[in-house]
Amino acid sequence: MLRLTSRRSVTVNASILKRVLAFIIDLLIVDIAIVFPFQGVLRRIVPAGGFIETYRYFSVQGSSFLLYAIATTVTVLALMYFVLLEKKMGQSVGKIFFRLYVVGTDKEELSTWRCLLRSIFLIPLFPFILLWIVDPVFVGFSHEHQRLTEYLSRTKVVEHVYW
Amino acid sequence: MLVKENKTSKWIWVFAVIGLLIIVSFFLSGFFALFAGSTMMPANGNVAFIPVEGVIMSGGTSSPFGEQVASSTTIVDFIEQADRNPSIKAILLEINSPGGSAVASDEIASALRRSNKTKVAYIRELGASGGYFVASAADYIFVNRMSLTGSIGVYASYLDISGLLKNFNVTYERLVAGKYKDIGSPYKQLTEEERAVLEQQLNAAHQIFIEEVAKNRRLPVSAVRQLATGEPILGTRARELGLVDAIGGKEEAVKYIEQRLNITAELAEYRERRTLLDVLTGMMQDNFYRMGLGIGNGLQIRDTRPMVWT
Repeated sequence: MLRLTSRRSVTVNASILKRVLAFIIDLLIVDIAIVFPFQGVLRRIVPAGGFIETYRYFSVQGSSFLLYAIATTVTVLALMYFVLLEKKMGQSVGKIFFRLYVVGTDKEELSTWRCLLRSIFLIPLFPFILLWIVDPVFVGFSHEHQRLTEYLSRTKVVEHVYW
Repeated sequence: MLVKENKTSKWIWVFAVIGLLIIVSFFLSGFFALFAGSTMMPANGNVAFIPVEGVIMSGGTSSPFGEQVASSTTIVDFIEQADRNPSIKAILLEINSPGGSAVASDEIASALRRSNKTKVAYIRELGASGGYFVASAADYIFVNRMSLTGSIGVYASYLDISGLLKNFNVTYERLVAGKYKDIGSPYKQLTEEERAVLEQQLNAAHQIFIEEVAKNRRLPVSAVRQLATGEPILGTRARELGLVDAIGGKEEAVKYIEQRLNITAELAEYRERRTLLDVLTGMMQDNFYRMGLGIGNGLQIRDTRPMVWT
């Protein structure tokens, strides 16, 4: 009996380009699903204009309690987006499109805490905002293309290559 | 088959999560909007447009079914917000007010003077008394030819119902410690001595009003005193007397700002935004306040010293 070779695959570290594109898709979804509903309220408390003007406004005026409350809410909801999807499926929407998966480097199942830890760069407060620079730089030095928060949470993003 | 089911359940989960986040976001944004009622930041603009419409009072807001109130608390807040905003280059006040509380008018005028921006006012139907007091603090005033302005004077008139009470055989038992404590009570006739005290206070307030207008308009105090009969003055006459700078309205005021600052003016409207919750709670507060006031009036002899109005 003739036996055809079955489709074989190997799991490798995800390409950085695919990860960036997947992240852009996720940001678009977060913007539409989470940030957009708050636009109406934000327009009431944030002066329209460029970044510099807005920065100068809040430097002089100080931020309102309402602005902090909205920023906190948006951050929590954005964290929920990543944590819920990655915990349940190992994939966010962007990762689904590019067939990327979040896995544990220790082969253990992803816990909520680990999913949360790998996404804490979303918190727009010091010292977490430092991760916006540190995380991508860390990828360049990591053998497994991990961000710092991925290294700390013992997770990484992989893709399956078929042939 | 199994793969297909897995894929389907994956997308169901994705849509469930995103749907949940959208619903929560809309719900919470609505909740936060309740607290953003009066703190509306204007849209793009470099000229703060602040309406002063209705009776000027130190607190309170307009009732949807009652008279228009220009709250000095809100207007001062707007002026200070505009002053702190580096995008705002000038403040344009639209005045349509018969005046109101002397204190509230002074609060707005003082806030306007403190501001470092270019301040321009234009008077529509009425910019009388306290309304003019506020306008005078601007750098430049426009007025319509037929607007009524001026009315530089103060009053504290009230109804004396002691005669009515007498007809109903109701007597006012006067119990005071301090001989002027119930001065201006509507339940008793004013004595000559009390009248003199009140008139002295009114004259002092009148003098402050005159001096402020003279200082703001750079006019001699004696000239303002001559005009300060409380008489409303037509726009054209006010221009001749130097109480205002030019005849015109909003368009002229905006052009003036553009020429003076060499900018293209974009108005950023600072207006109190009221949510449905504000309207409903305002109505309830108003009703409860009036109910309480009625009961309180019936039960106690109030300290009813007359308020000074401009």
